[in-house]
Amino acid sequence: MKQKINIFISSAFSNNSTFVLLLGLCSILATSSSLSSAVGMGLAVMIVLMMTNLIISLLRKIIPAEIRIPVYIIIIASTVTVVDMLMKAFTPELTITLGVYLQLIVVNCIIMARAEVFASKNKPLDSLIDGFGTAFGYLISIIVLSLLREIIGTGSLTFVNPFTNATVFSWTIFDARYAISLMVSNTGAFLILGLLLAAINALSMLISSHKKRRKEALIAKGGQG
Amino acid sequence: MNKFVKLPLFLATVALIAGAALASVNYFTLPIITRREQMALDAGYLELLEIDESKYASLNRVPESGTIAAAAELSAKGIIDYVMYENKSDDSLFGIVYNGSVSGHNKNPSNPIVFQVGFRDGVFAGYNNVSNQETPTYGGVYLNDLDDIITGLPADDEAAFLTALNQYKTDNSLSVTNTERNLVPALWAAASHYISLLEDAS
Repeated sequence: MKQKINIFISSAFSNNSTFVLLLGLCSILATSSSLSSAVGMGLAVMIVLMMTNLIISLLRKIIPAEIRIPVYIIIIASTVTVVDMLMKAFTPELTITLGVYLQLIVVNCIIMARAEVFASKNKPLDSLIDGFGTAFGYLISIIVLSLLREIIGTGSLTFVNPFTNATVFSWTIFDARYAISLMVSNTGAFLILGLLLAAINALSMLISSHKKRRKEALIAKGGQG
Repeated sequence: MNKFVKLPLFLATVALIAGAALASVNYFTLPIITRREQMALDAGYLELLEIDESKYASLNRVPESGTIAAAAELSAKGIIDYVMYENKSDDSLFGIVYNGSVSGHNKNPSNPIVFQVGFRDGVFAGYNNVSNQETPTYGGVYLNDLDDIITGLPADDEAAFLTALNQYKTDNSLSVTNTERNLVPALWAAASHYISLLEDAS
């Protein structure tokens, strides 16, 4: 059980695809202009990643090594197409919002990376957990980015139910006159992501230096004793 | 077995299974997608021409319109068909909605820009986005705002129509060449057809 939790924590946080590995940034930057589209994209990636990881892990012993990449591509492309068709049928508004980025999940390097690095070498359950963890990290990242962009860029926060297209909540955080609309644009996406990466790096450096100081203090204390 | 036979055979089998899975999902989702698109089109007619329940009773939906394909010059521009509403009292034209489909940034024929454009009282009554696969932060933004840009513009003034579109792009620093390449001529073809119908009627 502890091993499963470790797989989840590692794929979701320690090796977060967005903030640590900087993978799949194109779709993150493009679809994080609003919370609704970010959640939709995050969930679509989650479904695809879990399904592809599971299928590839189940087939890992019979897929010849020489053609593993084309086989992965067929599996990933088919899974994305299935998700695309289901979303067109049941969440048409969200499909319009996500536009071409939904189909571009096929070439999202996170999916291929997890297939090659993890699913092709591990058991189905572990691969499923890894897929869920990686996608969970992706979902958290895209939500954080979209929250900042939507709030700073519009002064409000709205969430629309992708199935009914009904507004679940719409909060005005501050007067729209003070909103920085640049943040909703592509430039704003890069700016916010850059600032977030800087903050996360600063925080991790702070934590590691604190740990180092504590370790040194313990060693010094042990030496005195 | 020879590797050169075994590997392609394996790949073909995987492709075949994937194809079968896609075909079965398509079998179940296609009727739902078609029904939803038809519902969106029907709702679009009423929304674009601002036809509420009280107004609906005084109007006739011209039966043959919407089922007859648009004329060759219109269909060449991407207008598929149109739906006309007439006033019951004097059979005068109340409004008209054109259904169109053109390729945009995404040139894949299965991902066109599907739209409706309505006209009433000699002006653009509105634009309705049915489906598209444009880049959300470029073409998607433009298509979402198109209704606000063109609503109320005179249907017989091409210069005003193009100026409004250019002004929007300048104000928003937006370059959407691929999205509007076929869409703008289609919208104007619909406007010209509407004006010719108005002139014929008068």
